[in-house]
Amino acid sequence: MFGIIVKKEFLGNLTSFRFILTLLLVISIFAASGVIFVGKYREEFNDYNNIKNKNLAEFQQQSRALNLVPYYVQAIRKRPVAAQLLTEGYEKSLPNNFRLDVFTIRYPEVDSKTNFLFPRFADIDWTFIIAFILSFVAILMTFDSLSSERQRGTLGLMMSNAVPRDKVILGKYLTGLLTLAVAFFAGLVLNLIIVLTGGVSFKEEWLRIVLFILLSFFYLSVFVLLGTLVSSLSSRSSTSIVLLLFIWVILAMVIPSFGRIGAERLLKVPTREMMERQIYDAQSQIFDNSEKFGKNAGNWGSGVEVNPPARSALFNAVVDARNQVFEDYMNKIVAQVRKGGSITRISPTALYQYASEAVAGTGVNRFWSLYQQLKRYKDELKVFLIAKDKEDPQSRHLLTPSSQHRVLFSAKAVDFNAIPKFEEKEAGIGSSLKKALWDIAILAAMNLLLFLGVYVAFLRADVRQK
Amino acid sequence: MIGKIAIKEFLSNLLTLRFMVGTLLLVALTGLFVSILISEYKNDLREYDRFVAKNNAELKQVLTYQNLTPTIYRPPEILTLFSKGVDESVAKSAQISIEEVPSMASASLGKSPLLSVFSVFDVVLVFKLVISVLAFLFAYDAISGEKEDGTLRMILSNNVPRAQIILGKFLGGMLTLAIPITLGFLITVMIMVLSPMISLTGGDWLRAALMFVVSLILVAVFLNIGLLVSSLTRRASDTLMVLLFIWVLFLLIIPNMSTYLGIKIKPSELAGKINTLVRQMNIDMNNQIRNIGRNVPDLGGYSVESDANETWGGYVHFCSAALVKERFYIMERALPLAVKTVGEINELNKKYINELVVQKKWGDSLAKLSPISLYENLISSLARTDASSVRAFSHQARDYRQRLVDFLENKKAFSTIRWFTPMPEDKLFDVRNSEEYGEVYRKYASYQPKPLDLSDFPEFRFRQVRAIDSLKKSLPDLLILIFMGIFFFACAFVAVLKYDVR
Repeated sequence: MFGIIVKKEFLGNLTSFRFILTLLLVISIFAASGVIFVGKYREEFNDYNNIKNKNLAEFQQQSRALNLVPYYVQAIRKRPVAAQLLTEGYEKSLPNNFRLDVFTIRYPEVDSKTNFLFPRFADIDWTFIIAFILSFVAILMTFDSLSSERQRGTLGLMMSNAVPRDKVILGKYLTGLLTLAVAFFAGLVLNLIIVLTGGVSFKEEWLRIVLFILLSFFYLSVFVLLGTLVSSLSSRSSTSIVLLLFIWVILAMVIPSFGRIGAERLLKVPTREMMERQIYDAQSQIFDNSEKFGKNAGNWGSGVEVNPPARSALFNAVVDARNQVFEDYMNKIVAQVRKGGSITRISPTALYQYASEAVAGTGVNRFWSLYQQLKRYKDELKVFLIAKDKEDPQSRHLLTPSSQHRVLFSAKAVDFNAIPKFEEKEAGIGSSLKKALWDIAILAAMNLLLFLGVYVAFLRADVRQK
Repeated sequence: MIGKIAIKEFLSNLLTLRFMVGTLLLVALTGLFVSILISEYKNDLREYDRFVAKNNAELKQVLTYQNLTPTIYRPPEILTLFSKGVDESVAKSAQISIEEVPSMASASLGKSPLLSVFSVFDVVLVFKLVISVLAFLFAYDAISGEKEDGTLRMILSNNVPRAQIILGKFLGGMLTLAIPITLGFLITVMIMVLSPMISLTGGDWLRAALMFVVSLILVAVFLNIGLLVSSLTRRASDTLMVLLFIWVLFLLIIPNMSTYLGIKIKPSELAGKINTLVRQMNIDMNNQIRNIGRNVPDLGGYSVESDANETWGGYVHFCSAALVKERFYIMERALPLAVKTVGEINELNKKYINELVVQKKWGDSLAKLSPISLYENLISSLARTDASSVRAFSHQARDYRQRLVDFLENKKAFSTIRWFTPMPEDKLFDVRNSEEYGEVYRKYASYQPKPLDLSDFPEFRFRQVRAIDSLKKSLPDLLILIFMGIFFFACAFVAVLKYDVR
């Protein structure tokens, strides 16, 4: 009986007017997304390779002397990943250019092809299509699943048979999900065909894609259940659609917009101007007390007796002060975004967006991970340079920030291939999942609650035509 | 007869769930948003006052002309609560110095760059979502519902002109929808008026009134689209489906695609490269200046300086006469170089911003297919948060920098020692070695440097875009929106006229 209900409903859905419209919309938008992505990805990859090669070529020139290496400012760009097809994570507006030398990492820049004059719009990635369009479609497919039957009287007819109510509800739910799945997979397959023939290759991304699809079903299931719930409680479909439309507007668009306000209210972050001022003040203080590093540490001029160890210590202290303020700032700006996200977690759409960003390995998480990797690389490079410098008996072994003081360091040539180079490592699937864990758990809880709600609501519902 | 139909529609609409839920939602959300945004505005205003005061206090302590680099701030605007536009993506402050011409492309001194992952929080978000869907919810069964119920046939069998039917339906719908919009604006106005720190000028009230009118025009457009589709379809459920798909198209798809297409059709050559280019130009200039410094010929005497720090940079606290000669030698050659580079960088930035503006024009033109985009752009333009209003600040920053340059030239700042040191000229001694310097230093270096005389230094006053100019700018979009409304109404009119009742 159960199978019959599902089959009948399912086939009925597939031939309905709204499903045809849905299929057309979903397929064309997934196709557009694929075409757009192929073009963008190719361009981004070219830019990335150009920057990387230019950086390596210039770096190599510096390796003719060990003491040129610490002062070379490397330009590192975030590598474009195929998983951006799933979730751009607003990568476009996040800083993607890092410059660093062995002493400091500079303030990251946004050097991308976006236009900041446009109001911020999502790129048409899978997350956008699923979060907004498919969830909307889920509402359209289920809003009258029970209320229209009640209106027409067929619900009463069905219930007069020996059909357990829980099977009816389960059937409606599965039908809704399956119908969505047809449109979803049709669009997805077309999109993947376009992307793969466009030259993009997935390797370990296939696992992420599978996880992403599972996550998406978790998300869409929330809206299918919501539609079914409101439908079972409404006597007429017109009531049901009104309520569901407004609920969708609130959940998908209004609540997520509170993120920014939440971020700014919950964690105050200094502006860049304030941060620069903090650095200036901290460094001025060190310079004013320069004598504590040794005689003449902070004096220069032709008559001054030079004291290299003191000078080196002074400059290193100044750079450390700057790095401390900067590190604090970076910690704060990431914490601020995370806090802002936390108040929007009542919305399944927001939860889905965070979880999909974590699963795809893009977005703010990636930015933070890249920064941490750069810090480690900087230290690794420093260790290498100091070790190599120790081998040179003629060096004064003083690594000093300020290229004029490079004479205090070894000037021997160094093998470029031995110098550590930066390679961005992507987060593994395991750690990606861990980051998404909370959000997936809340989505699962929502599903459970809604399912119980639908169950209880329908169990007690009056099936008579009103 | 039109009046009778309109009143009937209006009254029957008032008792429906969609009206009650829609109005309640609009009023509640608007109230919430406005309260939060007003408190944000108050914080911003307090911060602005603090920053400006700090800048003015620091100006009074500047010792050398080279460190005269005040920061100017853009005052917060109350109407941004209606629409944030691009206000948040563009810098709210600019540091003015001769070394750089301020540009919208310059690095922001402002808020965290990561905040761009969040969507904008303003009142137009609530309005564009709720009133458009509400208009569709009232229109979808206006005609097809009556077709299904059989009542349309009955009306038409009377001697009611078809034109009056459609006009009556339209008027009735407008009357209904005017209620939530009016209530929404009323609650906004109430909260603004009741807040002590908020004061609106006449121009602000005019803009707010215009936003109200524009919102009414938007619902008229949606109502008419709804009436058109309703008169073309036979069943109300089909109408609703079509309308909801159209809604998604207008709300999400057209705006996103038009942004993408705008960037694609007019790609910017400098985007993605400008930072690197500008940086390279600065590095080259600095290298050249350093070369000049290294190749200074022997001008006689012992050149030595003792440095110190002040608010906006370092300066020379005490030095020998030979150093001054050296410094002037370098400056004579470095200054034209710096001026040239600053000019070139400025040209590059201008070119870049122009490319972005062209992209935006194209994107906006394509977006005009969606009445929701038109509406958002109109409200943003009226709130002075669209791209061109925001450019006003950067233009004025540039003008202010020119006034700084003029001020410096008037004071002959580039050819006095006050450029880099507050030392009184009569303490400049020719010394021959470090011992002699040491003696002179001991005797005179404890002088108290006096801050610069800035009594005739120009003050920055931000001139806001006037209401008349905003209106002129928004006129084309407004006309398009009105035209859409009329166009769809005409189509619905024709559809009803040609409808076969059998």
